[in-house]
Amino acid sequence: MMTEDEPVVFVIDDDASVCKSLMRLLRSFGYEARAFHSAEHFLEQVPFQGTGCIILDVRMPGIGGMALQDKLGKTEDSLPVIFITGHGDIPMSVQAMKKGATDFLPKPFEDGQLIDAVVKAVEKSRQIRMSCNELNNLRMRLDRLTPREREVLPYIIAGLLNKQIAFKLNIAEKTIKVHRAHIMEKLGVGSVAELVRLAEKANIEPYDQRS
Amino acid sequence: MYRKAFLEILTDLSRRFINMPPEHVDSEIDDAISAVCRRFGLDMGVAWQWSKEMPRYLTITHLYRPPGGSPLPEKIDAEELFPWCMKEVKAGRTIAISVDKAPAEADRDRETWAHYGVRSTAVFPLSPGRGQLIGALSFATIKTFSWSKDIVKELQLVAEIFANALARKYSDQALRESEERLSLASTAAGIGLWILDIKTNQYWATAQALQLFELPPDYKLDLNTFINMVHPEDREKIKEAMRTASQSNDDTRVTYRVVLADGTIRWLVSRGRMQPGTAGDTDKLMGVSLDVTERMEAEVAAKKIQTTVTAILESTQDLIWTVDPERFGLITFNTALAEYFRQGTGLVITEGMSPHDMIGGSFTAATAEKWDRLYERALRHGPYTEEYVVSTGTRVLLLSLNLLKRDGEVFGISVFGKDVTERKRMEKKIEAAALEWQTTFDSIPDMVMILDAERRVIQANRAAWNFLNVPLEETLGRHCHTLMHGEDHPPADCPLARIHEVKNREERDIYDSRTEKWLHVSVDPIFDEKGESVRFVHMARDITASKKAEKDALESRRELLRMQRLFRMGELTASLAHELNQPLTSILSNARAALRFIDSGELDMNELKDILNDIANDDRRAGNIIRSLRAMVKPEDSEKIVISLSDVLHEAVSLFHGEAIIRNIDVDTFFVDPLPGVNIDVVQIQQVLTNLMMNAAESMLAEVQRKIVIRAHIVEGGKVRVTVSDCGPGIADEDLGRIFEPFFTTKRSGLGMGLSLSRSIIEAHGGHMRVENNPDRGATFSFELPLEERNDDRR
Repeated sequence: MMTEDEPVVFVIDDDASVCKSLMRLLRSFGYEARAFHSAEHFLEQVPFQGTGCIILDVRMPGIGGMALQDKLGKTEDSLPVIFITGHGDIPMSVQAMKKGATDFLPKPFEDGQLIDAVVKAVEKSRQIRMSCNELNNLRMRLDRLTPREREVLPYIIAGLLNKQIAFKLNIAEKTIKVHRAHIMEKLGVGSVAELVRLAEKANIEPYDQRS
Repeated sequence: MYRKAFLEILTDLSRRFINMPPEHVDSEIDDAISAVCRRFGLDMGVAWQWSKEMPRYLTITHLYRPPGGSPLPEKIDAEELFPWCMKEVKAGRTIAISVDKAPAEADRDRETWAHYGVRSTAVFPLSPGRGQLIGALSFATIKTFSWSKDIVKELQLVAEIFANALARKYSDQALRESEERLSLASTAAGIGLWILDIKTNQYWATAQALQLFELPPDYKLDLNTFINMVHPEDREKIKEAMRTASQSNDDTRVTYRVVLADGTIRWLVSRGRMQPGTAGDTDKLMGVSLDVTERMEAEVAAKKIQTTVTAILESTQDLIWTVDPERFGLITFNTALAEYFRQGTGLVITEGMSPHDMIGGSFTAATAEKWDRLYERALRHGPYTEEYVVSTGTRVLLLSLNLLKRDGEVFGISVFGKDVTERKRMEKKIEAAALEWQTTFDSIPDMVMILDAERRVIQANRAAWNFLNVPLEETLGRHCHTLMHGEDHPPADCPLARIHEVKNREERDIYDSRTEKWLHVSVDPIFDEKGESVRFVHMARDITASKKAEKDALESRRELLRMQRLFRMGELTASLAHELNQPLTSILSNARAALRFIDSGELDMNELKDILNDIANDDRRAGNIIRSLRAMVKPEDSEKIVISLSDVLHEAVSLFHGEAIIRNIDVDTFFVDPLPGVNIDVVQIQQVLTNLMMNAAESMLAEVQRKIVIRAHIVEGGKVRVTVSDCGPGIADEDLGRIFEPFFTTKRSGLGMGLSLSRSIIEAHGGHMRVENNPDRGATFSFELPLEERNDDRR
């Protein structure tokens, strides 16, 4: 687990001049900024674990901004992305926002616009970072469950009674009751409702009664 | 006594005068006259000669008179001095009178007698045998004398003796003179006289006759010797001639050769006959011989000439003949004429045939009369030449008629007939060809003139003199530049200005300020056999209208190109905005950063300098984009410059950069930098490159992998080839052929002009544009441009 340092702003733009000027601007606002002239260069980096955001040019030779967003979006702790483009059009910005971009700035933009976006993105990053920590915590707790308990969990969060679960799994109702108690204890929750919220966070699907 | 004495004289005279040689007659007569005068006591005795040739005169041939007294002239005018006496003598009468008893009509005679002191006289005519008067014999006394009958009678006898003697002497003299004349004539004429005694076979021959055989004058020629000298081939001929002559009284003539001692051959002609009056028992053949070698040689030479002339006449296809001037009968003709008739009418012509004898077939009576008129015209007006169309009309003869004259006398008409049918046909053909040429020449709408080496007009067609507005005659011989431009020299830009350097066709557009017209002129030299240009075909076309149309077309084309560029600009707006937004973003960010640094009081002057430099650079960058945009849309005249093609490619790629970014297209370039120079209109070539890249980009809309590859390299023939490849779906086979057509497009939006214009731009630069599908994916457009030849001068 890494310590939470000052946020870092990554500027990815094939235009060296744009990169340089944005670095300056960010620096004037007290941000640490790092520039990359292509997506490929950025990906070569050791994955960044801290808070921060990416200012990403949409159109670049090679891997473009949108493609890079797709790649980065697959990890839970990805940095928020602020798209900048010299050729802003609405369909593209909509698509970008859907994919989780925090902002879409058409070039040229005022420093205030950029900084507002950066502040927002860094905040988001921080939250992501925090929830990410929470999730890690949860996962560690889930890891403590036995395979049998792991098997029972979906039935519990689906709201089935012990009897029903026992029938479904063809084991004794009493055993189910023990499992339920252990699960509640291991995961540190006091109610089923709490358990359901936690499972949801951990992406554990409840048992589908229709199946 | 008297009588006896006289008889003695007379007897003596008679005896002496018989058979007296002629040369003694004169002295005998002199003696006789003197003896008679002394005997009869006469004072004077004269013998006079008279001839028909000089009837008025008497010439003294013999004279007796004692010394003293008036001298007598040798010749007297008898008609003047003795008219009466002459009359009596001519009448054959004898006179014997005393002067004082003379009749009255003898007054003039009496005066003469008185002058000489004559008292009495007797005159006797001299006429031998009472025939021709040859003279008179006269006696006179200075005292009175009585002429008795006896005396007169006796003197009469003397006169008769004298007359006979003198007559004989005269005839002998005449004979001798005539012999001499004959000899002289025969010698002069080279004629030899001869007499052959047949009994003895001996010749009597004149020196001239012997000379013919180169024999000495005293040579005794006999028949055998003569025969031996005759050329062996002619001996029979001679013998035959002699036989013929001996059996007739007529002349026999023979021409033969003799061989002289030195071997030379001499031609002789001899003419002989039996001695006249001795026919029957002839023994003498007389004749003349003449050297005819020269004539025979001349004849041989003439025969040679004749043969040569005949050969010449026969060697030609032309018709040659002569006719007599009376009835125009053929004298001579060559085979060509004979063939002409044989083939024409089947007639075999012979000597003597007149035109009217030749009638038959197509040679009608009218034709014969026509021929007569041809001959008559020559006789009347002298030699002439005229074309004669034969009666069938199929042939044309050029007839030359001439008169043959000998000593000013026309003895024939010669005709030379040349068959000019073929020539006439050729002439007609040439005439037709000339007419064709002239018509063609005149129908050429361009002005065409043929000039000599001094630029003078030899020929000008209708268009030329129409343009010049002068009749053809006034153009000929004048200088082209004078006519066309009213100048002393051709315009400097006319190829004729350097007329002697023109070795091949040269053409140019020139502007004539006088007529305010544009002329497209060309000069084609015509060379003589030595390869020197002696004439020039000078053509000029009024291209004022097409020049204007060309200019208009150029302007509209330029406008079209500009329109297309504007349209292309429209398509590129987004990417251009992107390209402009980049520097604008940098500028704004840099400016804000600087302001914040200043506000925060953390300003580092070096930092500020960097920022300002960057702002300036980005501003410049934006300016360049604007500038190239302006170049794309400005309607300026096209201007070609020599520039490295790599510079043009770089700029085109950078202009397309934004578009490539927006469309997510990779643009790869492969070419050496710098490429050699090309002479191009940069804006237009940029337009082509932009069109090709935009088309490539459009074709790859549906592709995941989007890449444009631009290559450029030098190819053979001094050209540079540029290829623009995409990796789209390529071009459908059915569209490959039409892709450059105007208004052809596969895009939903688009003018359909891009490729059409691009190709026309490349072709206007002397290049070609092609398209082909790539083996794997996509299509490749390529074009070639000629490299500037003077690349060395660049840079």
